[in-house]
Amino acid sequence: MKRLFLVLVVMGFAVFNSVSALGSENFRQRMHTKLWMQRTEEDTKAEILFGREVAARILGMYGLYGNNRVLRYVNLVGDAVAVFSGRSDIDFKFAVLDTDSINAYSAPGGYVFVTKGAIEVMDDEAELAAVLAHEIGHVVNMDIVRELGIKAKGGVSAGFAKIMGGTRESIGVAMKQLVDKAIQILFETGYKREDEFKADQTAVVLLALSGYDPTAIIRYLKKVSKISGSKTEILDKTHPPFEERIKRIEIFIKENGIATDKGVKMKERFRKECLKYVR
Amino acid sequence: MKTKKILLAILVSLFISSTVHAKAVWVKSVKAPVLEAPRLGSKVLFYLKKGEKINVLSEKGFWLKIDYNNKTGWIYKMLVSNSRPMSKVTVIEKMSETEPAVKARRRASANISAAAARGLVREYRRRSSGKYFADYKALKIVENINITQEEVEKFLNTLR
Repeated sequence: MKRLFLVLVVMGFAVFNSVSALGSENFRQRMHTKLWMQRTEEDTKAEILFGREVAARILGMYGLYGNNRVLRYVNLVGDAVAVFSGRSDIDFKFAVLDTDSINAYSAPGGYVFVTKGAIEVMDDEAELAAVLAHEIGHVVNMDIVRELGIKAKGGVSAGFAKIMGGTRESIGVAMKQLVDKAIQILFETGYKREDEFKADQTAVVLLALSGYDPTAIIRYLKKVSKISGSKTEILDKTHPPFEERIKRIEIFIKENGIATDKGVKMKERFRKECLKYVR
Repeated sequence: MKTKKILLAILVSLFISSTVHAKAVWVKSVKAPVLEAPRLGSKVLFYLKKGEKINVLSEKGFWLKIDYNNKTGWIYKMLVSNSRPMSKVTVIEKMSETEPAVKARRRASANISAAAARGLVREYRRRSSGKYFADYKALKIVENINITQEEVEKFLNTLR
């Protein structure tokens, strides 16, 4: 009896440990899952309302590129990728910024922007999808939301309450400060390096899931890395070095056995629907 | 003796729960491909839609081996969640075009000559409206772009 009891104790520990290991992910993934599971509809509303304020300021910085045909096309490409993002609780909206600088931005709540300058560098639709997918990655991974603690409760409730209550005379001072912090992240300091690398990986995954060539992001980054000067000033100071990004993406693709001979580029459609108007 | 029996019961139930472990997850993306192998780019067997409940058979890195209506395959973990997914959240825009900041912007705009460079105009607006100028009019244009799910599906089909 004593021996049987001891055997069962050992079996129990072995089983318990294997059950824990089965569900184990890396720490970051667990934290992201935890964050996601704790979110409520009110949190998403707070995220969208905050994101709108940030988006409005991004648009205020550069202006909206007004070609409707291009806007619709960019939204189709973005939506085709976002469908696989896992953030089906928000409506992604995509727009082109009227500036020759080469960059892309995203705000919480699903607002994604790519500059005219960035599009001019691209050769095909897959590269456009890659840039949009990287920004979708920041939204999916909730990088700004986590960094600034954007929640319905425990966040800057006074500011959010004012907006959500519809008075809208002004967003609270604390809210404005948060919005300014978000703009600083986007235009001055950049995201954490690991957040950028993660967004690159998310981009590769989204490209592969939607049917685009997953190496499109590498092709785009290689081209941009050869450009310097005022056009890439903000990109250079807010992102890790191109070589490091490209290397990490290549390692990610190799380690995960991602097929690189499949996936479309859609060069002709990109030229017809987008590039010819932008250049 | 009683303590031993209790411990025994706990251990047996732990063992049983692990072997009968049938975790269910829900599709949280609008669309989720189920693949033949746990590798991006492998053959798509079928697609699942948001909200569909699937049984997890095993895990491998970023992948879950799942069973859905007796069909098995691999799904990327990013596309599922442990709880039923949230419906799409919309926010009713309460701000109207009569908002004071917008009115002030229009007045300022009218006073600037057509020859003013775009950058100068924007800089003026930035100074007059605080640290960063917010263009809600452009934001509305962006938010009013409407792409239907049917259009997205049709577009996606061109990528296959």
